[in-house]
Amino acid sequence: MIEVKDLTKYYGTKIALDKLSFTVKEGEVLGFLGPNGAGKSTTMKIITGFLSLTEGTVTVDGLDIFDDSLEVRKRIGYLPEHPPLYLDMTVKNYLEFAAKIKGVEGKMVKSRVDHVVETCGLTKYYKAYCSSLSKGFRQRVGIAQALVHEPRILILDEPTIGLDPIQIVEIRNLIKSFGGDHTVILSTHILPEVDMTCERVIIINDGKVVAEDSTENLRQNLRHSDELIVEFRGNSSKIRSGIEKIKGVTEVRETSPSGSTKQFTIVSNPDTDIRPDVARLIVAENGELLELKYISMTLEQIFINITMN
Amino acid sequence: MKNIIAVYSRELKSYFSSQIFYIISAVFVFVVGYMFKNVFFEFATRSMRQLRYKWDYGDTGIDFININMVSLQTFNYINFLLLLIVPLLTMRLYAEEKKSGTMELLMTSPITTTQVLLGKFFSCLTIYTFMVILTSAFMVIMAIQSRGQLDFAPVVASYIGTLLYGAAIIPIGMFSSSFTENQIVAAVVSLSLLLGLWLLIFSAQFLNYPYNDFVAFLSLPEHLESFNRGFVGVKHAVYYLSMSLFWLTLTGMTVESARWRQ
Repeated sequence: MIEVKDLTKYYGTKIALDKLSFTVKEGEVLGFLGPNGAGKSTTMKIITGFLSLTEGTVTVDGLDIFDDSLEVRKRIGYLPEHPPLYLDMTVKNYLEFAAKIKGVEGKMVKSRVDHVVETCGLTKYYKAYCSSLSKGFRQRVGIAQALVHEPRILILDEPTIGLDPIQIVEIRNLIKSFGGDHTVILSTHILPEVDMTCERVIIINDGKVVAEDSTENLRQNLRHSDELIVEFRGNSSKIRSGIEKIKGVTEVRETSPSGSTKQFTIVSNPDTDIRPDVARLIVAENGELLELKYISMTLEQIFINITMN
Repeated sequence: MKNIIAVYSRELKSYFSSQIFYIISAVFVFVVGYMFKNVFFEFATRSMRQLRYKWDYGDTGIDFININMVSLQTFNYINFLLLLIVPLLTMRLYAEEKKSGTMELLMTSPITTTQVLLGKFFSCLTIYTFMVILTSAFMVIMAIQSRGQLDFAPVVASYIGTLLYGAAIIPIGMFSSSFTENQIVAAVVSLSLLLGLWLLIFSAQFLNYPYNDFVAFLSLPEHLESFNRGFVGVKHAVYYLSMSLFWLTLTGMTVESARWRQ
């Protein structure tokens, strides 16, 4: 659906995007991850036609964004970082204006606006001025404007930033529901969000793609550092040497807080579950097993690992 | 076309719901009224003197002082005042959009730069016309006071001239607004450009023929004169429409180039 090939963007002499390449399949929800300044917003601005690219090609639904700019824009619903609201308009008038300039047929305008108002939970604020809305509701109006012309592609730049927890959940569910009929590109640096809403993730840093995979795979592949925490009381040196002998264990770190309770962090091969072995060992040495749990590397740590390297 | 109308009605609604528009209109009409009063009183004094002259020396049949000079003078003031007022009307057209981020909405929607440009231009021209029409109150006063002696043709011609004049200077204001986010900067730049064009006529006198005529032709007030005297000249209309087209094109190019400049 969207093909980005060798996308390069220079701001003067500074390079913002360096031969970026990726594709988005139809009906996919793609997460666009990266630290601030990585180039996520720039990429989105280029795809939607706000900025020009320096080199490379971008095709949307088979159309080049340069040659068929107007056609491409008809197919995309875009929510920028800051929702582009006219503060001196009411929500109703604003959405009607947005519908009209995005090509919605005259007679369909009212019904489309009513539909998106309901979808985004803005019914209470239908007649309110945009300036009187809180950040969360402004964000919702922004999402509404991105949906009003029934675009097949949605490009959302940090859609849940600044929302309260309840709104965040609602918006995430909304975005998830778009997958299938819509193609969605979602940029964020809230990793749990990617986990929850996206099927595939692209991590970019310094204008380059550093990782690209499905969310599940990404976590699996980097699970080679799953860590087991064991808390116990007993003969720590004997138990330690015993644990080191268990098949698959690569590292044992002592992370005990002060006191009689000992804590080890065990790094092991992800293929084997060593919990039963550890438990049996401690009991055999007459220790008191207090806690035994796996801590999987969170997406946050994966992110930091990848972007730091 | 639908897009132009959509932008046009949005901008119009925006003007009519802004405080600044009403304040500017009120100030404009008030100042025009004040100048009108001065011109009218001077006319009254002079026509009294003319009458006295006639009693003393007989009627030569030629009236130097007549009511039409009031409308002429008043329109000269109106046109100069508009030079100062139009920057205030046009300053927000693009600067506000850029500042509030709505420019991104316009540039990523399937609407062309030209459509946005024309929508904004016509909305500004509409409220400009509205403001100018308000001054017709003074013309009505003049018509009543002159007891039928006022020629309507010069008045109508003056209004046409002012309208064309507006069509020419609004795009200059739009141009200034298009390369800054700051409305004050936009207003100051357009004021400078407009004053520059207005004052060209003075620099013309220092040049030799044919340059003096050429420079004089480019200046704004040169053409207003003939409209104010009642003559709707084609060459003057062409001047204003050409200016209008030129600055509109320049504005369009500046806005579009923003995609490449960032």
